[in-house]
Amino acid sequence: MKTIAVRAGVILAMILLAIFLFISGKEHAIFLENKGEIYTPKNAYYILDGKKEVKIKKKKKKREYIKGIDHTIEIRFKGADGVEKKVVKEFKTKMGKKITINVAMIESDSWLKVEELKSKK
Amino acid sequence: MKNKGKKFLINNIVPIVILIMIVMAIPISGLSGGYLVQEMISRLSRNSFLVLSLIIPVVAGMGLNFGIVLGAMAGQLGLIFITDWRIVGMEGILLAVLISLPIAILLGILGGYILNKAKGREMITSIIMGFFINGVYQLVVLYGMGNIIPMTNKKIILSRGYGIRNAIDLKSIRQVLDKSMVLKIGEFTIPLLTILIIGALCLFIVWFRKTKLGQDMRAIGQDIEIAKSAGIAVERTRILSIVISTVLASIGQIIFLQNIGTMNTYNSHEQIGMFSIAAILIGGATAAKASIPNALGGIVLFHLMFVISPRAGKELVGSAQIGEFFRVFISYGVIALALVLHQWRREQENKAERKKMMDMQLSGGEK
Repeated sequence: MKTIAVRAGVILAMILLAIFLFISGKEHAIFLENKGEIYTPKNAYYILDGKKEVKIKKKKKKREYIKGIDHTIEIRFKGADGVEKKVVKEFKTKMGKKITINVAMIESDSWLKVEELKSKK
Repeated sequence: MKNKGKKFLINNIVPIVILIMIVMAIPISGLSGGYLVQEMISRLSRNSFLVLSLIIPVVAGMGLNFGIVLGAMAGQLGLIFITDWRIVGMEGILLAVLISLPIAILLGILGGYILNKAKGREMITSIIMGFFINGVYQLVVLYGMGNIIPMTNKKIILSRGYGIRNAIDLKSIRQVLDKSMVLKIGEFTIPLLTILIIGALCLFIVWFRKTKLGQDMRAIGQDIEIAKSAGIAVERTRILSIVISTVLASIGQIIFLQNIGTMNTYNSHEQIGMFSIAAILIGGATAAKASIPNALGGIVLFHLMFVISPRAGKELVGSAQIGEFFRVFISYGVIALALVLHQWRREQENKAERKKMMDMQLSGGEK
């Protein structure tokens, strides 16, 4: 009886570990665009999860791959008043969702767009 | 003293011959010492786990387990799944290991059961078993995946909609283990984490041989009938040794492929058994005796030949291919030589045993 309980415990622990690894190691594609409704900076720079800084030009879109659920994005751009701004935001990824971050609208509420991912048939 | 030297020479004839050949070929190849050392560090970290997985069945008297191919297939299935699910980094490697574990255990049980039915002919049986399971693997991967087993990553699925492509890019886990902890000593880069994992496996093997199960395996390896009469569950212990070997091989294949960075879906596992066995035999192991130094020394010698032969061939006869042919000839020749030597040694031992018995009987009769 004890042996069965131990074996069942080991299997359960392995399943739980596998689920944890699946969630924390899952790679998600996110889209970044630099297209504001009122103002769009000529160039914006972003750092995803403390990685390399990337430049995104005006009205351009980029795709990035990130791992896991919790992420931070640091955005640097010149505002309409010509003053250099730096904004840090946190966001979560979800399975089966398409995430688009608009760097030009990072200061507004609509900086993050989460849509249902359409599967190609 | 002369006898001791002769015995040492006979026991280590394979590594000595290979070492002489390497020593002769190094200056011809023109490769620098630094380059060779770096290559050996990288190849040791890549192959050690697989080669070390061969030791336990040898201890249990089951010879060289060509069935590690089964474990390699389990490891590859784990890698196919994590690539399909897009699990990256260290999590990807760990998940691949977790997925491959139950498959490797099941294949190990099946392998052990079959090998128990073929006592005394384990090596040839394990080779054929590898071919058989390879067929099942191909059926699952080529037909089942995408058809019965749902697959979402279009990059790894064949254009017809089911079956896995011939080559899978493992960029999501490429050298994750090797690059996560790196030690730099002068011009040499040492993948510390991989080396630590291999070190842990070596410690496990040393510890395991001292456990009750390890001692049982040793007893079975020495004499199966005596072990049986001593109350050891021979069949179960033999199956366990194959299960351990298969599980270790599945992890070894994952470590191997994360270092390479690409997976040849239908071929990567096929040569693993032959290469690992060639390496351990070159290191001085036999079908009845294998140790950690045999495995590690064998990898160094075998891979030195890998690196040196094409260059030496090119320098000598102007064709790298000739050197490669030479290496292939040596690799397989060494397996044949080691097996012949093993049989010859066994016969010599039996002859010596018979002579000793005869002498004892004669001296007893005279008295």
